[in-house]
Amino acid sequence: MFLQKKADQPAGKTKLIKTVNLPSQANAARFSKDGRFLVLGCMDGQIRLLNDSYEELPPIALHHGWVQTIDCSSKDESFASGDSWGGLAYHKIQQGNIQKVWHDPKAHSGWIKKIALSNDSSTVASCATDQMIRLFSTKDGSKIREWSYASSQPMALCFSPDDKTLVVSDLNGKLDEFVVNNGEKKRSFDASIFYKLDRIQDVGGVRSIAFSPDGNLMACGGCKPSTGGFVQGMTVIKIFDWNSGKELKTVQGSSDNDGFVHDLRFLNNKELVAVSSGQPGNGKLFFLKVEENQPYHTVSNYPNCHAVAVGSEGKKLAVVATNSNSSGNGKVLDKEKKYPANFSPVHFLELLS
Amino acid sequence: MRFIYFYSSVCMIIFFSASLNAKEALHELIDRHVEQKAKGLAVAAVADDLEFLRRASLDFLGRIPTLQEQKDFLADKSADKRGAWIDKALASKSGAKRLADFFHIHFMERLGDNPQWREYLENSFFENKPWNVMASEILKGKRSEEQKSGAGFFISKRLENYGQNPVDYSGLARDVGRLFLGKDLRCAECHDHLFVEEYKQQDFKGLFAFFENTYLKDAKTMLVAEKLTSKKLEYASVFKKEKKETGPRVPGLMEVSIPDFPKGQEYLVPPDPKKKFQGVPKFSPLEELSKTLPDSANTSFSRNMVNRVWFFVMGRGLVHPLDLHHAGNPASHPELLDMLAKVFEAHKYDVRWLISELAKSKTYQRSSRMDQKLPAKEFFVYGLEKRLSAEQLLASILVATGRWNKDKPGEEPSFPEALLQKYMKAFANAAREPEDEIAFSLQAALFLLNDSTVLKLLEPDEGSLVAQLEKIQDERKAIELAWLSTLIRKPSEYEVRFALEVLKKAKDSKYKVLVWGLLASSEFNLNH
Amino acid sequence: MNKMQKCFSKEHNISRREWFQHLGVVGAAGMFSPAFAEAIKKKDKQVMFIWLDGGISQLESWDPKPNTTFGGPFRAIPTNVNGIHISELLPKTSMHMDKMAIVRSLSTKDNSHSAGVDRIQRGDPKNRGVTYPYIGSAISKLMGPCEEGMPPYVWIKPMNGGFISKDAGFLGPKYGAIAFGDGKPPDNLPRAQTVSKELDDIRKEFRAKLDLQYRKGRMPENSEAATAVFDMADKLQQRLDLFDPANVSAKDAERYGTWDLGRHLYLGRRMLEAGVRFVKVTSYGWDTHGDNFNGHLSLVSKFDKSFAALMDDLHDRKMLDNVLVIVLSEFGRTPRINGHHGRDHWPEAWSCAMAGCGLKKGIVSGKTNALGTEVEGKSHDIGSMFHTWFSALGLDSASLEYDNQGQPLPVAHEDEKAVTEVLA
Repeated sequence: MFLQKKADQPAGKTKLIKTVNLPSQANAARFSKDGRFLVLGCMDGQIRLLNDSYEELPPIALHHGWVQTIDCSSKDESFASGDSWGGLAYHKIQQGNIQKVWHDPKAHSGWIKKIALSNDSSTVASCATDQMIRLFSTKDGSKIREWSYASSQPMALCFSPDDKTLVVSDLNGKLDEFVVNNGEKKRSFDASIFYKLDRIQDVGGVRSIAFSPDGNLMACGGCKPSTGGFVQGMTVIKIFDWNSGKELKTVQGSSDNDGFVHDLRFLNNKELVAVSSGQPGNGKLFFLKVEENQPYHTVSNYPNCHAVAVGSEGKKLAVVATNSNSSGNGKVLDKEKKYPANFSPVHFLELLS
Repeated sequence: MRFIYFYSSVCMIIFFSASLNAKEALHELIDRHVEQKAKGLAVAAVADDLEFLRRASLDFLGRIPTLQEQKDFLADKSADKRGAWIDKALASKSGAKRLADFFHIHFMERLGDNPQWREYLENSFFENKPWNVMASEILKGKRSEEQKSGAGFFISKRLENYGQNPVDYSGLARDVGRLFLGKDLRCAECHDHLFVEEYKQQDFKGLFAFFENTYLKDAKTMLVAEKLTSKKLEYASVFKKEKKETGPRVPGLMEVSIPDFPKGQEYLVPPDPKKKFQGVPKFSPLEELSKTLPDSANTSFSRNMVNRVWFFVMGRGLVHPLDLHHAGNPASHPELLDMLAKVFEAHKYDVRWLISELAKSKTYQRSSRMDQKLPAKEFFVYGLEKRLSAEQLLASILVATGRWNKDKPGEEPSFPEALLQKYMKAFANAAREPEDEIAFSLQAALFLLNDSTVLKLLEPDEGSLVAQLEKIQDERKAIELAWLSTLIRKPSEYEVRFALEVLKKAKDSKYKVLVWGLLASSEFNLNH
Repeated sequence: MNKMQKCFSKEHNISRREWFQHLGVVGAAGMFSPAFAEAIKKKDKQVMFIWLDGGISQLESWDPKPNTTFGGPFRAIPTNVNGIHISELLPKTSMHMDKMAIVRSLSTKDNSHSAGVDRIQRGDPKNRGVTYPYIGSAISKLMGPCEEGMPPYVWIKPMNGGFISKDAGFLGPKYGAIAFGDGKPPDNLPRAQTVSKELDDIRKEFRAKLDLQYRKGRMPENSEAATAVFDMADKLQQRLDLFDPANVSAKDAERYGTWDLGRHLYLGRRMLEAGVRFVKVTSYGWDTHGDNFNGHLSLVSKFDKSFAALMDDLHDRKMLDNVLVIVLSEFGRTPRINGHHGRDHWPEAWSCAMAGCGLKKGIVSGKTNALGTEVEGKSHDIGSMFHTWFSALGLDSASLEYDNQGQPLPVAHEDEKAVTEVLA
């Protein structure tokens, strides 16, 4: 673990409390129920936890490939984790120790892109590159239900506020609402802005989904791709009225370098926080009021942000970014002539009202 | 020993007799040299009037002759009608345009085009500007806004960079060496040339030193500028690693000394970092290049141009390839080349005079056909085949199909841009590929076969060749007209007979088919 | 006019060669010795060259390092050759490993696209101050057209087509590629609407006859060359069926995939069957500096399907005996994953996949270390691959030379050697 100098902060919404440098790049981050732990899924296959003194607990090493996705229960101090080899696990935090509740290394036969816990914490839903949607019991990991998602590659999913339906978003620019009890498709939401076929590459996808606390709004994030390959695209957030299903607005960024909105969360019923990662070095943390069409506050000095976690009743944020100078053609060596991997600094921010 | 003395004396006598006869015109002198070398070989007869006229019209007007021009020439009974025709063509506006076209292709190698550059060339050739003056104007580059002529394009175009690639200074140095001195120093960039002893790395680097500090200011206006040159260029061979240096130096000449100005006094106009202005140094390598290269002290300069003019007229250089003059690649006629270079200089680098003398020689005017087995090309005992440029082919196909409207006497009509672009696509080489060799491409064949604009030329609209042919009752007469219009000669009896068969087979489209075949034949698409 | 010169330069490792002045027109380059030309004329060997432009990631294809620092999210899968694993993104291709030969020890010099593509396809030979031909032009020159008389070097690519002479380098525009943009025939290939087949035949016959007349009393080469070109146009025109999408069965369209790479590999196979010596098929968009993993998931899956269909067909038609299949990019991709979850350019340690003519079957040659950051053991520059391909096609690459207006030039980098491990 390394201590990094405080990054310069523009005056306004946030104040940097602490930056913790993880030894690996991280894909996902969520605060546990009381906000006492930040749970991170890392590219080196480890789950890492940082407590409220910003100390790292011993990491959990049961996964293979990348720990791609984390979701924390809203009912207790437990969380689920999913990896890129198809492994799914459930853990409980008890007195500062993490205990594995169950682990299914073959929950999927592909890269689990996202998991989501139901609001009542009884079920964990997962989607993967095997184009399957699966529901497992959080108690013992037994499979409750599954259905195929053959129309496209699923990218994210989220339980509806009443846990009765599951929203799955895909690569090709749509969101589908499925009935949890039988897998029947209920509604579809157009999100074609998030997709482009560039030459032979399917580019983009809806990468993140979130519901407002009162359940009235559904927001999703990704980018509007202009090219594939190194992928250029403007950040896009779409907000839907959940009850009617109508699209309320599309908020689009201004630069092709800004890339994907990888993660977004509602701070309250009226405000969203989101993070984006685009061209190497380019990362944004931004705050959007749902009635407005542009973010009212943007922090641009954290390169390549891939996750944002909201804790302590919306007063604290953790932003998972990437070190600067993370890219370069050829064998770029560090000062010790070594070829190290990149890593994720995690920035803990206090939200000022 | 005595034998050697005898033979060298004989050679000397021959040489002197060939060069001392002051009353002999240059074209006669040329014939002497060629005939001496070709002793014992069969030579082609001098071409008949139409063969001459076709060749000369293509060479010096850029197109085949019209029917009327053929008639007029045949009817002309004056004593030296060929010489008079040549002089008239070379002095005409069309002649100047044709030379400008050739020069543009030959020196720019399809890198790009620019209307001011073309204008500069046409005006220069029309006023018969001496070659050393032209070379100087081209090599100095356009370094001030006030300079009006388009001569700067040669340098400015080569200072542009393409995509992610840096400016190709080596390419510019190399092109100057090749095109102005006849020496391809490319293989001498990193070390002395491995095969050509005379091409040293210091030659390449000396030439390179003229350009290393130049840069493009504005591609559109062809404006270039120079950074400060205050020290010599350092270099080392990749083999020997010993450090060397050179100031700007034309191969074969003395190094240009770089003046040693006291600090702060190197500039005419000092640089201004705030305005991102690099300044105008007092010492200009381009200026020096434009003064030193085109000079009589530099024998390569005249030898190169004479050889290229020879290539332009005769179809093959005396030195071949054109950019490989060195002791191991001697001219086919060394004394002739020596002599031509000297008289070219003595005549103050008069290009028009040189071309006219070459064209007036029997060597130029020999038929391209021989009954006997053809000797090697470099004996120049018969007319050589020459590639026709896209521009020549377009003009010729328009003349042949009767679509060449001479509405401005003394001037040649210009082509519609779209049609010219199509012809360029089918027949011109890509950039940096010299059009010195004959190379009929698949796209040219497909173009002639199926392009709608080509086929449209065969439509029998008012005044077109096919329309004229269709009006003629006697098929034999029509066949003769078709041949004269396209191939600039009458058909042989054998040809008439198989043409009649074609007409029979093709029925309603008979003349379209006939004219198409003639226009697609090698005889039409080459100069010979 | 003959003048002989000898080069004694040890540094260039050229054995004593004579440098002839040519009498008469030779053309831009000819074979150095007429005897060689006859000896190496192998009419029936062909090449399918698949170019994945931008740099396919070797870590997401031929040389996966699952569960390592730089390995990325994907797993490796076994193939139908015991002990050989490739990325899970290539399941269909894994069933063809028993026909393939993969070199994992490529290490080249250039990490930029514009220069890199050129250097790789030209074999990055020693600098002789000339522009070497792309491999397609080289084969076109060294082996000539197949006996069917089809153009020897054809390039099937998305977007624009045309006649690409720059590929030919010093060989001259005659050895350039004919590019079929989006698989469509070149400009003016289909017979003009206003000309019936009958008239077309009459006019072509008449033109040919005129050329015979023209040759009387003259050197025949130029007119012969023109007639040969018209003949080639004819041959190509007779195979217009190749370009007609109606001739692609629904089944084949599905097997190969409806994306450009699929359609073009199918057309490429048909071109090989029609007698084209060298077919290049290019897929663009592989430069995944961002979102590399989702990107490759999409790209490689499509490649996998199309390539496997091609391999099925080549195998079924017994074409792998005489067709050399090459899959290549201008470099691989960095082990280090950047902030945009992409991989950058990586010539340091990457792979080339091959199959067919002259190669061993079911073999991997060379390896990279556990993290994929370096070649372990002997590494090979692209010159070695040129030697390997020439050798696989029966050409003696070590001694064969071009003749560039009297300058003898080795056909591949003379300090490199073929990867004999993969040669049959």
